[in-house]
Amino acid sequence: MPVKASDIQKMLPEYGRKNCKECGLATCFAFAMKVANAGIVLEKCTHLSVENRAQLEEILQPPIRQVVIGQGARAVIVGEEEVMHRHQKTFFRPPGFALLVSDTDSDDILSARLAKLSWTMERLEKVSRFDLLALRCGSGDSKRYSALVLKVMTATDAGLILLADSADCLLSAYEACRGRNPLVCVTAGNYAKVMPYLDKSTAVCVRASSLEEVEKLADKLKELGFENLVLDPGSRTLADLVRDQTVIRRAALRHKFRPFGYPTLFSAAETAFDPERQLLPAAAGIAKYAGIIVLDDVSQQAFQALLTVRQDIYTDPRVAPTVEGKVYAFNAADESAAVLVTTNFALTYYAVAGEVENSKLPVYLLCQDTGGLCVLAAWSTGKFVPEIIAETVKKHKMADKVTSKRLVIPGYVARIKGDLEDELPDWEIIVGPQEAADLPKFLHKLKNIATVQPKT
Amino acid sequence: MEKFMEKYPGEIRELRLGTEGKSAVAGGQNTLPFHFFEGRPGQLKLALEITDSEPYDWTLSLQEFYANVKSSPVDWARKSVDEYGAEMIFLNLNSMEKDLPAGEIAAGVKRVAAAVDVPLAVFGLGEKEKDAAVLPVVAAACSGRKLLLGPVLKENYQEIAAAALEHGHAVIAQSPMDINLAKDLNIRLGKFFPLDRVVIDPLTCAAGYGLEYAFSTMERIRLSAIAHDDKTLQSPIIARVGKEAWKTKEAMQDTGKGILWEALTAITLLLAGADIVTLRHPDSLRRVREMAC
Repeated sequence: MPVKASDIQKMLPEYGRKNCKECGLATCFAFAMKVANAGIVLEKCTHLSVENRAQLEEILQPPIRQVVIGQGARAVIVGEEEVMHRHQKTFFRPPGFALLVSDTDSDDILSARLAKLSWTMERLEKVSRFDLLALRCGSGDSKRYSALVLKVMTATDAGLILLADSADCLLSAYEACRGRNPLVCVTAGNYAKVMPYLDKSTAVCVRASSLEEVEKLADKLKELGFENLVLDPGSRTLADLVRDQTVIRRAALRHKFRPFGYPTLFSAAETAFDPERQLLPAAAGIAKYAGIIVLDDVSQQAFQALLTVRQDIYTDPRVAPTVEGKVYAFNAADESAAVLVTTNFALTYYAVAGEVENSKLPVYLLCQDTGGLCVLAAWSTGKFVPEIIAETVKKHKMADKVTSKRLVIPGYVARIKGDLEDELPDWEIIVGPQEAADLPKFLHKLKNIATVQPKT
Repeated sequence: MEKFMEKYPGEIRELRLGTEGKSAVAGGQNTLPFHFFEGRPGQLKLALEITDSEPYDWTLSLQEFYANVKSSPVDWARKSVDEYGAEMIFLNLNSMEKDLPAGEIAAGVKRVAAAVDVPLAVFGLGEKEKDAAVLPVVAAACSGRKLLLGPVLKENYQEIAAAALEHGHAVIAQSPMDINLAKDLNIRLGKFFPLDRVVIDPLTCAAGYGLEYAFSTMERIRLSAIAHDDKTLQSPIIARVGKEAWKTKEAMQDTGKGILWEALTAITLLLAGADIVTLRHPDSLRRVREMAC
């Protein structure tokens, strides 16, 4: 919820009518406008009273604070979410996936787990992988725990999460990796011994076993001067997860309840012993507001599935998803391939591409750039009409790519067949099915026609 | 935390299916999905899909998995309930593709309905004329069994819903991925059909294939019904996950992946508001139930 410039103006000197211009702007209102858009810092107003400044700082804070873990290109930024439901605007910051390792893991297990950090998945022109590494101190031995920290620091530049019960273990690990901007997890039991030694800018995760405890501990850390907090209310079941995450986000957004104005952490790894049973909780964490999700020993397939769900839920509903407008080749397309044309709306593309793959027949799929409009919408707005399609067919030299010049158009635009034939006299225009699901059958039929009756 | 709890004005109508002794229900909640902390939870139903003739269009790994029962819908339905724990059977009438006589198809449905003690959903092809010709015959043959019949579309709701009304069945009202279209169809149905016998099918997409659209459409429908008390949308929602999950590239590559895709899509849509979820593999059913029910 953005703050109105007029509300800011009222708190400026002389109710915002001083207009001294010392900030470099013509009026106090202009200054207020810039402040509202985070275009200038409050310090530029030298006449601002201490009380008003504190008050302004409070109202200008986002309802959910941004927290950064790690550094450089691998920094994970969470928080600053604005809505309860993605259709109300969008979810902004996909949850960071953290892979859990322990200092009690044998060397073999540890290297097998660390190898997972190199898994990548590319989809919709985005590469995803594990964002963070969570280090558990299972041994209770601070030397052993620090040794793990040092070891993983040579293996990865991913951000680190420190999970240890003992204050000594936590602090020695923190000393070893503080330059990496780790997330230090504390509890009601150890925070008093830990906090005095942490830099105030440290990202700290408040770990507790209920919302009430999280509130208490978050308040205490705030009093101690720590601002970069992450909240873990210790949810262990689906119902707990939905309750805890919903209450935290709702309290922050609708009630401006400061102790809950932070991103969250959900340890799917602690919901079940069997890693396979942690997947569904992890998926639920994606839909239900988790800022960081800690995963135990997942398989590559499971990880890929989770990354896919994450990308789906964090797709911005205000922007039509698109794929690049170009020629896509399937099933070793060669000169015998069929040529299909459709739009570059990502959902159309994925539906068509999936069915084309299922057909196991060689196909060139030409995606017309319609700015992400689906077939009918693109046709009715003039972005998927005969002249434009013909131009694209020529631009990509489709005639040189295949022997049989037959172009399949989506069933929904059957009406353009005649005009498209006029535009592309060398091509036979064939009306395809309306639904992608009918493509495999259609393509097989098309192929048989080709072999039985070669075009003269 | 009391101060952060919310009470909502709307609630989802309870759906009752099956003859006496198997009157299981979906819906009944007065709060958002899984908001047990501030309201009364509804009932969820996890259905296993079967087909009334060989499922030749199912992915091969599933055809192999069901090799022993796939030619006998009755055995398949029984196994799904007794061995795999299905809480509902979702029977796809793929025999309609072969244009069998409607009476023959309906007799097959009747045999399946008599064979199992769980509620039965019967689903046509989604082709308006064919469904309008066959589903009323099924409705009459299974009169009084309180089946869930569908899909009912804007183009054929009058024929199918009239038959469902006469013979005591509920219907699946299908509209393409848009809250307003779902509302429109329910309003049309509501003029002559009791809305406590309607299930909304806003269409489903699998993870990676538009899941976000299905998620937000279901979430918006459920929010309107619960938080804004929109009476026209207070019906249970069905997510037909099985079909969508098993036609993905991932499911074709590998059965394990298919199970993951199916289970993760299902849990995500349950969180959006789905009350009935159809699945094709018992392993995904087991996983989802462990977690959600």
